[in-house]
Amino acid sequence: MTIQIHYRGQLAAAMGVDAEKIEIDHHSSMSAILQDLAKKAGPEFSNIVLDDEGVPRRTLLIAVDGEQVADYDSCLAPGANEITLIPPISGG
Amino acid sequence: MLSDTDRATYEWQLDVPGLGEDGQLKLGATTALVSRVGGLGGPLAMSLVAAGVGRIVLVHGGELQESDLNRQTLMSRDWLGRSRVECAAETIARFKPEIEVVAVNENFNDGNAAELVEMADIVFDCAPLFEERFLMNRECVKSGKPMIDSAMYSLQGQVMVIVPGKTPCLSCIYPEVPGHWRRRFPVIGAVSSMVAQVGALEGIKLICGIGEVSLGDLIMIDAGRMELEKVKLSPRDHDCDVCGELARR
Ligand SMILES: [Zn+2]
Repeated sequence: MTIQIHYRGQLAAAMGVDAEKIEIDHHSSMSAILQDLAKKAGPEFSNIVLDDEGVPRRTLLIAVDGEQVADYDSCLAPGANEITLIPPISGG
Repeated sequence: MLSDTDRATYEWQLDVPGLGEDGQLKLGATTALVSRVGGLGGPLAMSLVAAGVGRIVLVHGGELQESDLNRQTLMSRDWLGRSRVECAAETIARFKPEIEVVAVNENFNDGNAAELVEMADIVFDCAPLFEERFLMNRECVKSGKPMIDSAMYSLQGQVMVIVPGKTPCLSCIYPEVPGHWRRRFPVIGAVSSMVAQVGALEGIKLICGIGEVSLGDLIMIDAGRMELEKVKLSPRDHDCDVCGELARR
C-alpha cells in the first residue's frame, strides 16, 4: 500500500524531504517500517529514530492519521493514510 | 470585584465570550511560573502579564549573550552580560508596575524544583534541557498542578497541556532523555514567539475556563507551511514513572 509520511523536526533534514509517499507492505510492523526508512536515509536519521540495538526509541512519537501509535509492533490499519514521525524537541 | 483601573485596562478582553469579570478575577488570583524566559518564555510571560495574571515567577539562570538577541524580546542590547531574569523582570515591571514579579536567577534543579512549583498555581515550561522539563513535570504531577509545555525547532513548534490525573504527562511521551538530542538548534524569534502565544493561550483558557483546552493532544505548529494540527496522544501510561500511580487509581 502507498502511504504519505511526514518527517518533523530534525528528521526532515536527515531525510532530505519533509514528506514523501512510500510503498509499504501492509503486514509490516511500525518497527519494520522505521528500520527500512533508517536503512534508506542513513546514520543521522537512524540515530534519531532507532537506538543502538536498532529498536525504535521510546522518545520518538509516531502518529497515524492524527493519533499516536504507542505499540511499535502493531501493523498499520488497512485504511491508514499518513504517518507522522515526531522526534523530541525542546524550549529555549 | 475588579478595580476601576482593572476594568479600564481589560475593557476590550472582558468582552471575550465567557471571560468577563469572573475570568479576569481568576487571572488576577493566579500565580504563573515561567521557566525559562528566553525566546519562548519571554513573550509567553509578557502575554500572561498583559492578560492580567496577578503574580509571575520567572526562573532563568545566566547572563544575557549576544546570540540571545534574535529571539529574547524582553532583553535589550545594552543589557549584555546582565542577569537575563533580572532584565526580563525589569521589562515586565516597566510594562505593568503593579504586578508582583519574583525573579529567580537559577534554572530548575533537584534542589529548587519542589519549592519553585509550590509557589505557583500553573507552570509554563519553556526550558531547553530535558532534565529541567522532567523536574517541572514531576513536581507538577506530585502537586496536581497544570503545566503547559512548549517547544520549538526551526520553523516548527509544539505545545502540550498537562493536567495531572487527566492527561498524559511529559514523561508518558518522553520516558527518558533522548539520546540524540542536541542543546543547540535552529530557531527564528518569530517562531518562538508564535509557539509562546499558543502556550500562553492554552494557559489563559485553562485558568479562565473559556474555549476548549487541548487536553490529551500534542498541538503541532508548522510555520513553514503555516499549519496547525493536533495529534491525539495515547491514554496515560500506567507504567509511567511519574504519573503511572495516578493513572492506575
Ligand atoms: Zn506520565
